[in-house]
Amino acid sequence: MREQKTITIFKFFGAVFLLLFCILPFVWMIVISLTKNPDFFASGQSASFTISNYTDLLSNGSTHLIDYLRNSLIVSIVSAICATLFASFSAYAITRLNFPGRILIPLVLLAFSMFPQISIIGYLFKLMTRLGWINTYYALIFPYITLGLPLALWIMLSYLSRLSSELDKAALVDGATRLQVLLKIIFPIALPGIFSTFMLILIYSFNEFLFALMLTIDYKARTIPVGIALFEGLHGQIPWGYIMASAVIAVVPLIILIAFFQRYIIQGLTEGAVKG
Amino acid sequence: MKSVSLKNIRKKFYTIRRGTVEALKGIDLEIEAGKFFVLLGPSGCGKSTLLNIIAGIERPTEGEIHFEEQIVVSAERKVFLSPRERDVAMVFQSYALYPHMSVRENISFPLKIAKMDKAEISRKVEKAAGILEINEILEAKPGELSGGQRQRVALGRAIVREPNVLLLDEPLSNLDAMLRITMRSELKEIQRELNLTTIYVTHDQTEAMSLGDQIAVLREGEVQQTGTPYEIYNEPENLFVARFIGTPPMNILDMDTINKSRRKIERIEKNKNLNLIAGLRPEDVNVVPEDEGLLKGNLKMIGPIGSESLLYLSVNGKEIMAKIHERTSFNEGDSIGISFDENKLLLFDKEKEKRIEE
Repeated sequence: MREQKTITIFKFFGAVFLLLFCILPFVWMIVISLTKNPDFFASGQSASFTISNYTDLLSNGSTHLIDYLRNSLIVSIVSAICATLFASFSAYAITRLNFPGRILIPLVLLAFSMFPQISIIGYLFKLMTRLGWINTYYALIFPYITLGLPLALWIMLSYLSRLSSELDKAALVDGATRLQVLLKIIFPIALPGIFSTFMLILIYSFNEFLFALMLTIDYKARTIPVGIALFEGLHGQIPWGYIMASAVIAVVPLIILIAFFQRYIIQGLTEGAVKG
Repeated sequence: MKSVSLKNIRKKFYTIRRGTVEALKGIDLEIEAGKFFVLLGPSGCGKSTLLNIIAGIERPTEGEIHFEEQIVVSAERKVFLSPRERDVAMVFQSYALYPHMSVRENISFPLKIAKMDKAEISRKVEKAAGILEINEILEAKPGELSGGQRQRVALGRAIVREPNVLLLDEPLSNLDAMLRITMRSELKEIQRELNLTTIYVTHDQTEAMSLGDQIAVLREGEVQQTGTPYEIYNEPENLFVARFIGTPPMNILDMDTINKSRRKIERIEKNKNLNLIAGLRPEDVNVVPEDEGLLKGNLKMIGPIGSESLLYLSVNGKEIMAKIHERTSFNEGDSIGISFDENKLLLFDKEKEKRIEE
């Protein structure tokens, strides 16, 4: 009885600790973004509340925050859609069709995904310069698709291999073509898996920093992580208030998306990974 | 409804671990139109592969299949018709219902794919649902249904097209025992009513015996015997079929065990110069008082199974099973005698395991 109680208490405090550990940086971010004097803690002053950080950012066009946000959303959504689409089709082919070397494909992709990003950035920069794509969406979308594909493929593989191949056979016998099997049967059933793949690639592309830093020049293609990092203060100081406020704004679209589809993501992730 | 004829069907697989595996070693079968044909065999005998080849999901390495006059697949002539072109329907062990579609959508799926018009589809779906008595659940999703209902839906999806050939891959093995027996008779009824050429795969010999007009017994990719349930049971061509059909399995007795009743056997052994072994069905074993039996033994255990009892006997160290209808007057541990009608013994060549007739 007492042992049970102790375990419950430990579980409770463990959970609280983990929760605080994860949430505190966000809380801090929000608090700073709402104060006039960001370094109040160090100087022993009391914090004064303001929303001017937000209003300044959004009203002053020269900060380009809205541009960065738009760039980020376009780049990451397009990359996520493409990567998910390619991964879904490839995963179907690998799990269902019997062609030589099909086991090699995911392994080779996995191996490539272990290249550190930094090792290819020099070449990538050269390539994009030649193509004239520096500071365009293409310069980011193509590398993001490539980087996201191994992860997307592996999630889709484990998801699709869980679906009974008798479903495919049944649909084929019912007279469907392979494409009809895919579009009418397999994809609708695999929707949670497809959706969680999409979200993971979206978040990854949204947060990516290195490529975005190297391959974009200004607000025409710069994404929000780089935009925030390169904020300059008026007199050379670091504008913490603006940085935190824009970080909060940047997180909002993702939080809305995830909160809305959370049920599917969790279902998708466990179904793909745990039972796979 | 079409007849199906298989000619020398072979299938080879290549696997990394086992190299080339020959799953089917030249299957020849003639299946008459409108008949209920059962492919029976232990797991791994190639029966499901054969069914997939008939359906057009897999290709044979060699051989031909004809539906009536039409060649649907021929490895030699490079002919391969898709399942759609063959117009076959199939029911799977896992039912393979589309989980995101309602029962109505499931059943109408093959018709929609065939681009039939809506009124026609709905008429056919209603008719199939009527036959299977699933009108009530047409709007439900497969996840809300019981095993038996799912089975009916799967069957509905197959019969709604009025296919040339209906293929069933162990469709009843996921149902509980009671339901399996009811579904068995319903299946047979529906097959007769629609007069469908049906090929049914199972490893359950009771199911095969009660459903099939014809049974083909398969083992390791080869047909052991084809015949009516009566022929398969009473005139097995070899030891494998004899032992595979019947519960409990046939007793196999070597000549040392049977001593007093050898007159007939001795004659055959002498005439044909063969070593023989004998098979005796448990229901043909009579347990009698010790001094009246041809063989002497010991009653080790009595296993009542309702209307019948199984007696586990030991004769010269060999296990023999007897199935009797009455309650036995003997007790476990008693010394008993065993008698049998010599004509009920099935004799087999010991080396080739083929049945020997006089």
